[in-house]
Amino acid sequence: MSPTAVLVEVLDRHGHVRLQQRLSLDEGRPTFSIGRSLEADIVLDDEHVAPLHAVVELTNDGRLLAGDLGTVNGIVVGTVRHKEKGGLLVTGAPVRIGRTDLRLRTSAEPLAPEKPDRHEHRLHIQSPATLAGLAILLFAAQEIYASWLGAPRDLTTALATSLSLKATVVAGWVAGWALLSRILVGEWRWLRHIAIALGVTVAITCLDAITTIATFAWALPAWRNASIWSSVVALTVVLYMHLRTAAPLSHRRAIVLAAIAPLLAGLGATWFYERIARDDLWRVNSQSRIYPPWLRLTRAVPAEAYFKAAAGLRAEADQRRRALAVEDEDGTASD
Amino acid sequence: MSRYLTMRAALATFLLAPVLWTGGPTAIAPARAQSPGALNSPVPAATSENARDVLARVRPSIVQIKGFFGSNTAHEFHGTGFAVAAGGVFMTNYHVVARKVQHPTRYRLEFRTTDDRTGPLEVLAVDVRHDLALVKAVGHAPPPLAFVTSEPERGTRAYAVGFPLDVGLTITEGVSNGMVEESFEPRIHYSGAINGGMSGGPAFDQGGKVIGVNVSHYRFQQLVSFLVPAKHVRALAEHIPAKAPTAEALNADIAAQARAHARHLLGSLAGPLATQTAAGYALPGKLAPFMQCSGSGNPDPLQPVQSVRINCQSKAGLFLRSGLQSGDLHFSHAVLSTEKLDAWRFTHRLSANAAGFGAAGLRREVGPYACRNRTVALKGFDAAVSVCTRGYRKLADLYDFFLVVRSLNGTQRGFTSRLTMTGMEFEPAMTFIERFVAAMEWKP
Repeated sequence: MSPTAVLVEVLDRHGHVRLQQRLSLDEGRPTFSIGRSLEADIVLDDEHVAPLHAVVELTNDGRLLAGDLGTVNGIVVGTVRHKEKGGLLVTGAPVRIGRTDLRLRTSAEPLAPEKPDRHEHRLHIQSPATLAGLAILLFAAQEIYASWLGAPRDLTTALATSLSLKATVVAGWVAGWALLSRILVGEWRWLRHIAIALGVTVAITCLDAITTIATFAWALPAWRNASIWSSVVALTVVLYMHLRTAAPLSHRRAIVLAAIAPLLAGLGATWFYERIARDDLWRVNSQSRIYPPWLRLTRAVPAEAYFKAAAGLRAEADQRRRALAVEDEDGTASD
Repeated sequence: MSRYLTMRAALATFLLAPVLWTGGPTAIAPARAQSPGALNSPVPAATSENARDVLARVRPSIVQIKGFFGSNTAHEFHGTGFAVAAGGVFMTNYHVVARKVQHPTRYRLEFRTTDDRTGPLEVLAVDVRHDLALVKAVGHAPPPLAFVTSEPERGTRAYAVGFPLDVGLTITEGVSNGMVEESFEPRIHYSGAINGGMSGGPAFDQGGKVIGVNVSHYRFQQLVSFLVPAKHVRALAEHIPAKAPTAEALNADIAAQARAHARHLLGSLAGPLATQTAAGYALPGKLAPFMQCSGSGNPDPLQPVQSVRINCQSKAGLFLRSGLQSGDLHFSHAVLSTEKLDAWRFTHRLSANAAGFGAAGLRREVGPYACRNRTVALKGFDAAVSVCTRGYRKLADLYDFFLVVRSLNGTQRGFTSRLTMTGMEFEPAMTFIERFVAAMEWKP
C-alpha cells in the first residue's frame, strides 16, 4: 500500500517544532496545497506567502515533490530559491515558504528503534534541576567551610558577605550564558548553566584541596605554576560545557573554542611568572600550606644532613648565574 | 633610613631643604636665646666668627666634585672633596664617585674650585666599608688639611663644609655627639645640617682640624647627621697609589673589601647565639650589641590568634653599586599562638602568615636563585626549612642568602622565621645559617 499520511511541521528559527499538522491524503489524488488563503490545505499566516503558494505531491515511493504556483518568492530549499512548477524534492529537509520554515515528513521515513529507559526511580539525577540544586548546595558548603577556616571574629557577617559577593558573580556569569542560550538555541537553560558553573568550581576546589594536602603529607615538591594550569583546565571545562549548552556546536568545535582563551592566558601567565620568578623570591620558593602534624606522613631529615646537602647550592647558583644571557651584562643597562 | 647625599634628585631634595633649614632654628631659638638679636640662631654670635675663620682657612683646599654622563655639560650628580695629600689628592665619599667606578667609560668626573677653576678627576682608591674614595685632580694641588688625632668628644662644637644643593660653598655649625653607640659601622653623630651635595666634604673641630667626612643624615628628621671618623680617612690617605688602578682592579678590590666586611660582620656574631622565647619557642634574638631589634604583638585579647613579631637588623649594609645593597643581615620571627582555634584552623592561619623581607636586587647585578626545601628535625620540633641563594654577577664570590623556617609541630603554637643576608661569602654564611637554625628550640 502506498503511503497517504503526511506530517507538516512548522519550525521556529532554532529548528524546534512549533506546530504540527497531520494530513491524510486521498489515495487517488495524493496532493495538498500550501498558501495564505483558506482554500489551501495548509494555511500559513505569513504575508510573504501567496494565497495559493505551492502544491506538494506524494509519490508512490513516499517522496514529496513540490511545485511553485507562480509566486513572487518561490520555495527555498537550503539556500536556493526555486520557482519550478513541479518535481522539487522536499522530503525531510527544511523548506522555507515565505518566511515560514517547514519540515514535511511521510510515513516512508525510517524510524529509529525505541530507546530503553533505565530510569526506574522517581529522582532523575541527570535532570538539570537536580544537578543545579546539588551544585548550589556543595558550593554553599564550600563557602561555609572557607569562612569557618578563616576564623573571622564574626562568622555570620563574613559568611553573608562572601556568599552574597560570590552569588552576584555567579549570577552575572550564568545570566550571560543564559542570554547566549536564549539567542542561539531559543532557551534560557538557567538550571543547566548554574549546574555547570558551580559544579566545575566545586570539583576544581576539591581537587586543589586534595593536591595541597597530599603535597603536605608526603612533602612533595610544590609546582609553582600549578594554580595557573589548574585554572586553565577548569576554565576550559566550564567553557566547553557552557558552549555546548548555549550553542548548537559540534563536540570538536566547542573544545577548540573553549580551550583557546584559557590556553593563551595560561601560557601568557606562565611566561610572565617565569620571567619575573628570578627576581621574586616568594614565587621561586613557593611555600606549601601547613596542616596539623598528624597529617604529615614523611620523616624529617636531621639538620646536619640538610646543611650538608645545602652546600651544593653554591654550584647550582653559580651555574645559573653563568647561564644568564649576555644581553643584560654590564653596559646595556642604565641606572 | 640614612640617605646618601649625592644630588640624584636635586628637585626633591630642594623641596626638603626648607624643612631642614628653617624648622630647626626657629624651634630651638627661644629656649637658648641670649639676646633679642640671637633669636634666629641657636648658636652664640662669638662662635659664628670662628666659623668664618675656619671657612677662610680651609676654603682653598675644598673642591666641588661633579659627575657627567657621556659628553653632557650639565652634571648628573655632585658632591664635595677636600685635599688630603700634596699633589692634588682629594678625599670624598665612595657613593659620590660610585657611578664612575661602576661605569668607567660612561661617566667622567670633574672638580671645580671655589674660584671656579675646573679640571678632570680620576679615582685612585676606594674604601667601601667606610664610604670613602681617594681621587686625584689634574692641575690643582692645594695644601692638604690636617686631621685630629684623638677620638671626637661628645658635646664639642663642630662645622661641616660642602656644597649643599649646588648653592655654593657652605659651612654649617653643629655639635659633635661622639661615636654612634651600638653601631656596626663607626660613625660620628653630628647634630648639624648636612644636605645633599655636602657628601664627601670635611667636618672640622673648632681648631679647623678635620674630624670626619660628611656621609649621611636622616631624611625627615632634623639635624641628625653622620660623619666618617678621621682615623679611617687618614688610613686611606696613607696609602696613595702612584697611578689610578684599572676598572677591573678597582672592581676586584671592591669585591675583596665587601668580602672582608662580611667576614667581619659574621665574625662579630661568633659564639653562642642569644635567644628569646615566645610561645614556647626559643628563637635567635639580639645577637650582638649593634643589632637593632624591635618587637611587637597584638594586644587585643579577643583576636582568635595572638601574635608576637620580632625584627632584628644589623644595619651593616654597604653601598657597593647602584641597585645592590650588600653586607647586611636581618631577620624576623612571627610567632602565633591560639587558645580558641582548633589545629586545622590554626595551621591555616599559620600558613597565611607571610611576613617577610623583600629581596631587592637588580637582574644585572645578581643571578637567579637556587633553593633547597626540606622538612628538618630541629631541637624538639620539626620545621620546613628553606634556604635560597644567588650569586653576584659583577663581584666575585659574593652571595645573597634567604632562609625561611616554619614550625610544623604545633597545633596551637607556631612560628615563621626569615633571615636575609646580603653580600656574603658562601661558606661562612652557610655556617651562620646552620647556627641560626640550630639555636631554635621548642621548650613548651
